[in-house]
Amino acid sequence: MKKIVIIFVVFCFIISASSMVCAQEQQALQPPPKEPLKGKAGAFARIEKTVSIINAVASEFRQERRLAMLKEPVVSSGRFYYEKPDKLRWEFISPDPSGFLVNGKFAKQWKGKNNPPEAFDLQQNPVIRLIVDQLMAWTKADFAWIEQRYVIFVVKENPIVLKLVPRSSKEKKYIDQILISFEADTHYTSAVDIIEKGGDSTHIRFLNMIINNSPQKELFE
Amino acid sequence: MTEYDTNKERNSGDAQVKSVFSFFQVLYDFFARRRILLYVLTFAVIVIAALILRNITMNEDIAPLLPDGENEAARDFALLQKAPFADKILISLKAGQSTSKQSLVDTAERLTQAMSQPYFTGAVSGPASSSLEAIPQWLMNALPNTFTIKDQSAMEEILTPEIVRDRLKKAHAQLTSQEGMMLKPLVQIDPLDLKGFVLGKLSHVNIIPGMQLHDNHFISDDGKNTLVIARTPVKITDSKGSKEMLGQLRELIKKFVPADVEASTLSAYAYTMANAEAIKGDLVLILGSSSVAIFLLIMYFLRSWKGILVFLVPSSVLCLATAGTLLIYDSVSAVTIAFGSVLLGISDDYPILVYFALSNKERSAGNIVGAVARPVLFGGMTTIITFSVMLLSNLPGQRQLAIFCMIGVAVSLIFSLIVLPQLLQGLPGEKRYFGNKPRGMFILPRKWVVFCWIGISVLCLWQAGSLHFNGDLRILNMVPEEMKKTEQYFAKTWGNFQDNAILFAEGKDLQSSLQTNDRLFAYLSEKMPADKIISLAPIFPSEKTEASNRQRWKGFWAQGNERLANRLLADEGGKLGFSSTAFMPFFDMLKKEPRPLAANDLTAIGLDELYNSLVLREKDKVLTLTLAPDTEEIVGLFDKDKNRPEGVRLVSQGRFRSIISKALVDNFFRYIIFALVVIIISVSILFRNLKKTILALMPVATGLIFMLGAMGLLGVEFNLFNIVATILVIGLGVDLGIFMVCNLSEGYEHTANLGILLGGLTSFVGLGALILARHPALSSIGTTVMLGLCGVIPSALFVIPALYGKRDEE
Repeated sequence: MKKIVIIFVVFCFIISASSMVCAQEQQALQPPPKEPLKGKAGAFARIEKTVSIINAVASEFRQERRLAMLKEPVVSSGRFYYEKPDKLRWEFISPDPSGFLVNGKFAKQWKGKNNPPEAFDLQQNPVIRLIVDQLMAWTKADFAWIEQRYVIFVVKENPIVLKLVPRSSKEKKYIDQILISFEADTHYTSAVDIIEKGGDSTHIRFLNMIINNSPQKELFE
Repeated sequence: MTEYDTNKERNSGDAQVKSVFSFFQVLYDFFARRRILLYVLTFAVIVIAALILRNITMNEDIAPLLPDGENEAARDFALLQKAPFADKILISLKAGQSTSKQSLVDTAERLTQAMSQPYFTGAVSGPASSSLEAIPQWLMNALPNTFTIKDQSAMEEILTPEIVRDRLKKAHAQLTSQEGMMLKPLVQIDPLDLKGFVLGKLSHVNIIPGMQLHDNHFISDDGKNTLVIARTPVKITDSKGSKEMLGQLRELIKKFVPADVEASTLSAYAYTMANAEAIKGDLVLILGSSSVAIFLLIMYFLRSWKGILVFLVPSSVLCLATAGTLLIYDSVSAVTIAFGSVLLGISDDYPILVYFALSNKERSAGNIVGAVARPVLFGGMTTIITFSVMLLSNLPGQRQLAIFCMIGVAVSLIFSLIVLPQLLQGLPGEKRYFGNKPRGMFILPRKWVVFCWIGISVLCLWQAGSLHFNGDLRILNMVPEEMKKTEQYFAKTWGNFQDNAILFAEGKDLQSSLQTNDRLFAYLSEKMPADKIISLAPIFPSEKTEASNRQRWKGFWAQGNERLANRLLADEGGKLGFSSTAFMPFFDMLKKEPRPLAANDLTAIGLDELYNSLVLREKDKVLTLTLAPDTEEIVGLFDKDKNRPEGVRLVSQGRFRSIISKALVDNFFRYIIFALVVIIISVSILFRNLKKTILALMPVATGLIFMLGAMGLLGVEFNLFNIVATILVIGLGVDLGIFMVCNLSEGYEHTANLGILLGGLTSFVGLGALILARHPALSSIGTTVMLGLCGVIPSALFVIPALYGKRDEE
């Protein structure tokens, strides 16, 4: 169960990492020095190149869950923050506030408006530890590690759309595929779609992404 | 030379000696001409014994100290060994200041994986891992199978718009949470959170009260300790195996547990090892100190190199008694060997008496041997018969002890009456002794002696009323301070999980055992708070109970509740945005025929270790265990309540103590009555005179009265082991009584008194050496028997002469 949660959160970071790539491309505003690689290798190369100079990310997101059990989609929104090497904050703002933050070995989580945040040891929580591990893999563009867990397809090269299919049979029971979409002009990651077995889906769209503008220290305390 | 009796009595005694014990005189005369043959024969016997002893297997197991056989105490003791943690090794790891919880469980994990054959057959640091789907699936399948009448009433209360709405809100929150993807199937099949009924019942299988689960590991309530539970093929009573296994565990802890984590180990094996180590150390101390002290006493009193010959008798006896015991038993208990000092102290009485008798130069040696054979043989035979009472004991150690002592005394009699006289007469040198000159050393004012004796006896009889019998076997255990601290740490950290009463529901097969267990749980639930009961019954009832529960479940939904639930879920679910088909899996589940629970299902959810601890399959029966607080109330229920479920046996430390205490009282009186009958008959046959018989029994009576009185006064309790002291006091008392009365009535040399004193003192030293033992069982015998001898020796030396009649000196 926890692994699925991890997967879900991890793809949020995939987005952030991709956004970093795109942001970097925008900052550079220079033509590529040589003919870019094609296909998966090309997509990976562009990501790998830009990720290396990203230090911080801040973004809003909007999540829409479509479930056969519910008549209407469930829409929620929130923000996430990341700062190299090991600071992260992921929070839902509406309809119900909740989230967690990690700052090195220190970590805490909260649920609801009235419940105070509870500190926990990152090493004690394998779920969040794995999230952080995943994040590290994406910020380092460790595709070898990522490909151990998922089969990656390039659905479109421009704008880039990646399709990830879980390799683990346990994950396959719940997730059919994950689509990561990038904006055509800026190459920002625009959305993540998680398609579950049975047709239910979760769509996350990222908005107002800010790159390399270090978030306030208090956000990680 | 002083004679206490009349010439008439002397003549009469001589006549009797000649008629009955002339055999020993004849034997003396026979071997006097063939001394070499006797020496060769004796040497051969000792060599054979030495050869037997070469292969001696001494075991330091505690098994001989524990009841066996078919009696109630032995049965209860055997059942106590089946307690869930009785044969397990518990290792608690305590986190240091800087140790995180994860680091702690990682350490536990590494240690667990390192604990392998041949010393460990498995180790766990948490429930077996189960698949993510297994637990919800099991919960939902267990729901109809464990659906009790109480559950039915509670379920009826759930089917209201308010509660359904409340539960659907929670379901909605779960669905839209980050874990929603995983929780969706469970919400679909259980929108009303009915699995909570089963989850609540799982608390009945939490054996360790202070335990939580963290990342599938056992963690204490304060989060600072984790627990590893290990199994071993080593038997609990195997001290050598225990030592090796615990040594291996120490090595593993050293290797895998970091310095900032403190490891504590609790197991019955540690007690076994501590007891064995204590007994081994005691052996050297007891045998060494008693041998030296007895040798010095003999040499001091006899003041002749021939004293060495006297000392050789008990030394040889020790060797031959051990060899003789080995011919009957495969191995000799260390406790028995430790009793060698007792045997030294007892068996030297006969050669000492023979030595002093042979100091008389007025009569021929053969004549003296024939004469002294009477008190010596009667004293020895009476002692042997007294020791035979211990053959009736429930403790194998005491039975072996009886054999050991009986062989020893028999050998001592043979050596003292056949071999020693030849050695003493045949070898050069004079038989001297301490006290050649001070003739009146035992002469005390009669009135004062009798007055003091009566006064002390009355005082002791009064104090004997406050004597207690303690059946707690734990007081006989050697528990070092470090282990006491470990016990306290475990109790504080993990709760008092080892002192529960255990109820064994017996059946010829699993189902009949589980049925009894179901009845037991129902019975106990009426008598005490159900949350105090550890039982499989709520989550794994018998097939019969399951079928009845399933019937109840189906009946509940069939009587309109399914329609009601459908309507409430549609109405309230619709308001919260659930689609009309959202809960179809729930209603599909209600239509399906529930599958019976199987033991394998418990394995699938990680409860196999628990199941194997609570369900014991034996050769021709199955026992299902229930744990409950060991209170007087529950023990009383199973002792007195006629409505208690049949086929259930309650075993608890409290009840066991009470059974052993009762058995102790029974044993005590059985020992005393049997031994007294035996010695009264023996002494009566010997003396054929009421006065002499009563006087000969005086040391026994005085010794027992003094022992019981002093124990009452000093608060020393009788336990399962020091009850042996009664036999020893009776055996020694009757020996000295017979010697003294014979001495007084048959006019032997006054030095016989010196022999009695020396015999008493060596017995005192030999038996008293046990008091030096670190092991509580041995030490308690030493204390008790010394108290007894404090009554026996003065009464033999002073009270018998005082009561016997006027002495020549007066």
